[in-house]
Amino acid sequence: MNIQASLTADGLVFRLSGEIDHYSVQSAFEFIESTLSETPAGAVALDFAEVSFMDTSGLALIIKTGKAVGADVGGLSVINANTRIRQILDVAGLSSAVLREDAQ
Amino acid sequence: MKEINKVRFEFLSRSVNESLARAYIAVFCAQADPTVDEVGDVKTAVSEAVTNAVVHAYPDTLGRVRVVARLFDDSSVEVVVRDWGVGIADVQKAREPLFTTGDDMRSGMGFTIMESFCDKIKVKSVPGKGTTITLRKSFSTKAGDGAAI
Ligand SMILES: Nc1ncnc2c1ncn2[C@@H]1O[C@H](COP(=O)(O)OP(=O)(O)O)[C@@H](O)[C@H]1O
Ligand SMILES: [Mg+2]
Repeated sequence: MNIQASLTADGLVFRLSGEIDHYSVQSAFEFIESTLSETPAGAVALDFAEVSFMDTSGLALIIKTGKAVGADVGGLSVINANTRIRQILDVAGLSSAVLREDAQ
Repeated sequence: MKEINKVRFEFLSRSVNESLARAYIAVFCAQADPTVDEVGDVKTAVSEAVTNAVVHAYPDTLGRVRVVARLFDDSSVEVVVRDWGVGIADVQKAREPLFTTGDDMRSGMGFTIMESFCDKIKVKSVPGKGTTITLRKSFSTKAGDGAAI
């Protein structure tokens, strides 16, 4: 999997691509953590548009990123998540906290 | 219900093999002509089961993980993921949502996702001997539908 950060008018956006699993999730989080420490940003979003696969390792990534952003996971937005990823967030009870419908 | 095909493969419990296992299973399932969503369900569940073998069964060693997949003439698939690792002391507890003995990169939602994406899941485990996960899923397309070449 691949991850890129960009600072937009809406805040810091992390674009994830490829497959998110236990193998790839640790380095992805390390990248997010170090970017967050170097780039103070108001809003933070994880863009899942190019994510072709995610299992529950992705849940941990979202929860940990949310904690790194602020006190509760709601300071983070998950955008452009496909139906399957939404389903996984639903089962975990995370959808209402992080999913944003107004994704570009 | 008759078995029409069967594959069996084994690999070392390296994390990099998780994607290999689910890709292999996705290609195998394609023979039954399932929908993209149905293959995605099986892929996700297999990824969870295999990751558990990699992460939990062999915490400080490398061990064997075996996957056996069978396709049946009613267009259903059975995937068995087996390890010879530490085993699970309390299976009922392990299956509860959010229960994890892992670090903060684990969510404790693996079994819950396997349950919601498959029709049936069976967990057999003996502490010190290992764990066997059996996943079952029926596909909406009947085997033999469409133009099989
Ligand atoms: N193959 C296995 N070998 C040993 N323990 C396991 C195995 N699979 C699951 N477990 C136990 O069950 C718990 C719950 O598993 P799961 O629902 O996948 O959540 P997670 O993997 O995020 O911890 C694990 O934390 C572990 O204690
Ligand atoms: Mg798991």
